[in-house]
Amino acid sequence: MSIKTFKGGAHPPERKHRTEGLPIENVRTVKQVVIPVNQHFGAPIQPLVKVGDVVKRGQKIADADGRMTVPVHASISGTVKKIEPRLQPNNLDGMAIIIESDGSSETAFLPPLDGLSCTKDEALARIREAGIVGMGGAGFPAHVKLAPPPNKPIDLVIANAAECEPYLTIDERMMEEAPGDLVLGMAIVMRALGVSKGVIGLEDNKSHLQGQLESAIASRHYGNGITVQLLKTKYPQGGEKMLITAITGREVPSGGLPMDVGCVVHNVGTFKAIADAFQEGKPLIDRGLTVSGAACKTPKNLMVPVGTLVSDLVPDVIQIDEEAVRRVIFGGPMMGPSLPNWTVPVQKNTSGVLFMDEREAKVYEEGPCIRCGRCMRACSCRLSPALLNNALKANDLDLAEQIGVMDCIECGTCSYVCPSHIQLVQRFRVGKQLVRAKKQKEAQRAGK
Amino acid sequence: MTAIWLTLGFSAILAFLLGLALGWFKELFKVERDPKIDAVRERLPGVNCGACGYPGCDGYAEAVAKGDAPVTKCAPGGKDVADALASLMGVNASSEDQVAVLLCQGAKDKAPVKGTYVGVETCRAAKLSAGGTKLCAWGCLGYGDCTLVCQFDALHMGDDGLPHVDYDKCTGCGLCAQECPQQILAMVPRSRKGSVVLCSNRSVVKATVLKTCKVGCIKCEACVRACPEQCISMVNGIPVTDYSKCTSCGVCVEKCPTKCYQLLETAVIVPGKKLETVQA
Repeated sequence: MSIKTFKGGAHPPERKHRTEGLPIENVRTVKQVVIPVNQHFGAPIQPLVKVGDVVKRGQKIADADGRMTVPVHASISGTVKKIEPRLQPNNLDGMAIIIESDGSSETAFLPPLDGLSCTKDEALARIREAGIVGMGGAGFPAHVKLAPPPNKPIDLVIANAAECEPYLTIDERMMEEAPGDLVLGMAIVMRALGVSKGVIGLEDNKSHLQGQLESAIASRHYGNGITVQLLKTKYPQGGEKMLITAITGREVPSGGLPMDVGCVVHNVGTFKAIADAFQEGKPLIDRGLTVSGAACKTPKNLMVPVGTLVSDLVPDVIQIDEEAVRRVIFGGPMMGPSLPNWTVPVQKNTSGVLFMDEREAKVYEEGPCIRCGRCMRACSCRLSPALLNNALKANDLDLAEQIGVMDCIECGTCSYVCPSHIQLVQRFRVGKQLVRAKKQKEAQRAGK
Repeated sequence: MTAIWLTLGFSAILAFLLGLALGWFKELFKVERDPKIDAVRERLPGVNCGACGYPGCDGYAEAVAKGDAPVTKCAPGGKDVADALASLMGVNASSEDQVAVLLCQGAKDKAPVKGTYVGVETCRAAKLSAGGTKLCAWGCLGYGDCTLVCQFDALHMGDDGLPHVDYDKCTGCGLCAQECPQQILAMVPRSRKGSVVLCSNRSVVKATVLKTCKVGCIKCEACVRACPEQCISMVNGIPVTDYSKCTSCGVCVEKCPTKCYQLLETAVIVPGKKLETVQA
């Protein structure tokens, strides 16, 4: 089969060798967890427990009504010690439920459900009740993607196995260790959507997994219609829109969603979580992540309870060269936020924690634009970052909107390739926020 | 000779007819325009600053004449213009001259930063990417977005890393307050007298305030208890003064252990003197 890709992009050094072949280590020894209440993209939810309550692993501890909400569950059994604002991986203080472990391994999972014979509503309710969000990074509620409006027919389910961010290897390990779960998760989603075709999009630096995945598909009766598609190793191959373009040739329209072109895309981790939610009734309470970086002495692939403070993993599970740490990044190096310290909980959407040393986290001074056009060639959305930058620097929001700032997916490729080290993507993020605020204001005025 | 008389007569008749036609056309193609718009426009200062939120003085004049906009929006015009417009439009103008006050004293040496911020050096970018640069999540970020939007040269960054308002120049247009991503520039009437808390820390975990800022409100409520007029109450974690009762006695300023309090008329809104940082 041919190797497909999209136009644009870049190929940063992969640096996956540190954790590539390491099996996922299950961590069960954490003494306390700090579970942020709001870990998803959407409307805020409220805690359901009080300080002093005894909770079991898997028990729902926060929820709210509303379409764009997902509940949060206790990831260890123990007592609720505090409910107070704590630093979250998005660099903001958010309300968090702090649970101290009582050492018991009691669980309060949901009853198992056969995802291949239940009704569509049952499946969607289960996916929501299990608190499943997109595990690739954005934390978009999974059940919302699976309930498209009736005028948007879906004909393809895509598993995002590109893992295009450098350093991260957790998806790769998950596919190697539990390929069956990925296939089951896909089958459940395909059934719920009434779709007969599924594609696993795999970057060709993981081509050794292709045979394994194909045999896992072939050995299961529900694997019909699922294929594996190799993709070129290139950043941001795992961007939803890029993945769809590479696999189907369809292009998500400006301001549109994958459902506009008949696709539903989920990360492999999300499919695994869906499979767990049906097979074992287990909500999304464990998170697989890669711990790596040059300042990390023991790079590992870990499976930890959601809410585990990274600082609690030191030094028993991971060792860090604290002197050498220059930057701590939650997520991948291209898009992940940099944090002031590592007393920060692992969230449902934390795919990695990177401890970078001086060489990796080198800071360059911003220079003038030399009009080389590299950003334009690299932009995966085919925008003109240099022009956008000029428009935003001049505070011309109308122009920026006109030339497509809202279509930017903030992948960071432009900032990466810029020889003058201009902080393009950050300006676009600010620009998007300002344009959104402006539109809101206009809508308000029009409504008055 | 007759040729001259003929020409003159012809010209006179032609001029009369054309004049009649012009007058008729004027009536025929008359554009209805509210004379109020021009009257309002005449009374506006005409600097086209946009502080009112309308496209220049013309846009604002039209909105006022239609009754869509309040008469008090013109910041550079201040009270005089508002009064003039109010009498013209027959409404009551309860406008007061406003000025901007920074509700934060977290200077460089008082409020530590949480790490080294690398990126676009504007408050908004720092807030979006790093959730702010200081340990205090509510404090001034110090990149001076407010100073860049000020049209009247009334805001300048001081050596302490905070913006300072020049009360000789501040017109109270409120652009800075709109721009500040932390929402810590408050618009207050210039003539207001009484005490004010120069802190915006709304942390519910009291113990963390002192760690994040030496001059932050630690929610001890000493001011609430000490106030002889009982005019201070806690709102959202910050003491708020009731200015209808405050007598500027200064008890709260004395009692505050972290020196958050200042008297507006003697220490904050002082034309000709810039806001000084307090010694903790």
